[in-house]
Amino acid sequence: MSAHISVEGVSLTVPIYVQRERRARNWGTMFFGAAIDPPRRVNTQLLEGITFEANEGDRIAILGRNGAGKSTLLRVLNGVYQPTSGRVSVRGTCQALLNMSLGFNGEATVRENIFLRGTAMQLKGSSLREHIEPILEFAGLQEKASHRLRTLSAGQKMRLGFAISTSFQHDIILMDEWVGAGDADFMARAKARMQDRMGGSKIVMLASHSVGLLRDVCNKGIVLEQGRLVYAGDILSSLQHYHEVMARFRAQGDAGIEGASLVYGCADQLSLDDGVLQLRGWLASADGSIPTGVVLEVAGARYPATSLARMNRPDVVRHFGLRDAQCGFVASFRVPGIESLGDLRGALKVLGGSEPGSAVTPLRLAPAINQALDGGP
Amino acid sequence: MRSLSRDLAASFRNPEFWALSSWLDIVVRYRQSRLGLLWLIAPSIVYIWGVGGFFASMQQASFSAFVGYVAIGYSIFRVTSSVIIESTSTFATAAPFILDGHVRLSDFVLRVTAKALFYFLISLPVVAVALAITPGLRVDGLATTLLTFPLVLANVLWIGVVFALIGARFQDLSQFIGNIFMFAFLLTPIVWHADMMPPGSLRGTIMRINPLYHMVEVVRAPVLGQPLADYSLYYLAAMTVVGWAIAVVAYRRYARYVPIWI
Repeated sequence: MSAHISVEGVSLTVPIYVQRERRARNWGTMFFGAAIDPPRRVNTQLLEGITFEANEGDRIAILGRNGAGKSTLLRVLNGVYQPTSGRVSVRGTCQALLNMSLGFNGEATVRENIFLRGTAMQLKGSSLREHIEPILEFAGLQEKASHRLRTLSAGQKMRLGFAISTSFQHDIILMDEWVGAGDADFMARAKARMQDRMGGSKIVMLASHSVGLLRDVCNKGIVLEQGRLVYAGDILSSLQHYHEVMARFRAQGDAGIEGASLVYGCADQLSLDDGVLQLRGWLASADGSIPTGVVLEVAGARYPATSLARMNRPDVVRHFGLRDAQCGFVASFRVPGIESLGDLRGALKVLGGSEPGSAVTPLRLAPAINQALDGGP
Repeated sequence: MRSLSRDLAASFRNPEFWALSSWLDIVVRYRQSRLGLLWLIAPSIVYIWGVGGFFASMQQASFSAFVGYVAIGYSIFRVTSSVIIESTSTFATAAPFILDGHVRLSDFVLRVTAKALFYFLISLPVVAVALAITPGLRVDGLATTLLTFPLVLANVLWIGVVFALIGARFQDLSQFIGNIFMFAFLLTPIVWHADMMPPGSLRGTIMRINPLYHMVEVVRAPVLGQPLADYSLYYLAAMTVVGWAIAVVAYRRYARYVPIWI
């Protein structure tokens, strides 16, 4: 049976409780007000007239600002929220990876929690038993198997949740932003596992602000804005539309995502010229703006760019559907004690951010740079 | 549209989740303690032998006759009350599971029911000792519990479903029920005899309206060889039919809103 999702004119209205605004003149009235003001029940429309279809082979990116309804839409597809009006039909087994660190019993052991989460996902005990060890291994928690879950760090819990949620193959994967806590090693394994799962599943719906990830994984996209579907199409045109929406809101001074930190980019070429390092590359941000922070990190020390010039990169713009052509950069750095590029081997990181002070996101190093560091041509 | 009968049937076919999660809830509470699971039987010992013995001497009743009376009354009351109290917040407690797509809500009602039944089973040795010293114990009466206890459970289950739904929408219910049950233990004839309340009096009328009284009485009276009033049976039969009808309709109508409410 082929997997299929069809959503027809789906609207969802939910009651939410709003506390009355009260101007607190002093501590007394604030304490008192917090205690006695009854919350108001307000009906809020989270989704409005959403219609789309997903067929086998579709990998659909759900784009939109925070609060645009991305997670809500995933919950509707998952059957958690029933639409107020409209029709949803989902054919095929479905796994949602929405919030992976919840649904545990903190006092029970890690092993018991794997059983708990597994049975909550409707798995049979027998098929689950074979997966316990692989799950522990994937999460890197073999030694912790009989520890109480409460003693794990937030990152370890996230890893465990991820390992459990992704250890079974389903026809349809619904996924919310999974930029997670985890060391680089785990993130690499997680990414490989995700790509494997998404490769094996027939339909993927992925909500994320990470444009690079969406561009890699998805072939289609939909853009949500205030609960309405404002665009649907192939991934490139959807990203373009999304960037236009973001630009419009940025012009109003309201970007709507904490996405300033969500930059992505690539360092393409590195050369050493008269003691000055010249780096060419490109850098873009999830909200469509052009970030300006490029920092070299050499053996743990940070060196901000001494000069940074923008340049057009039509190839990148085409690939990601960006609005601003000037996402490329040429930056120069002065790093003391560097005689040749070979001195940087194994010690170099290129970090990006909206400005030099907040540049913490490692950029991908192009093969050409690694070759140059290894003393190649 | 979710159907209660379909969901319950599916829950009984797939008991792993609710059985495991309720069992974990119980055992992890005692992990850190020296006596461990022995603490599970402590409340029944205290209530049956302690409170029961105390009230027996207060009412100048025979100790050996009274502990058996208290033992049955207390264990039935405990199953009933813990399901009712916990069901009012069961959906809110399970919010992470529900919002993650586990929408077969009957599982969460069965979870509190299973928890109450685990406690009940563990208290059975204490009850057995109390019954062993009870004079006039009826063995054929014990056999009737095979019918009457499931009847009580059937009622507990629909109450659990209805209260879980109402509790998800109105959090006041959880508070309300919690407070009511502080009083309900004394209001129900468990540590006193029903015939102390004459039928005509106000207290007698309240006692006879109290459904807990009939749920306890239908199990307890035959075992102790006491006459079971016909109206207790009628009361329970009516309650079962009406209650399940309400539960089925309410579940069909409101189960879909639970993820939004919690």
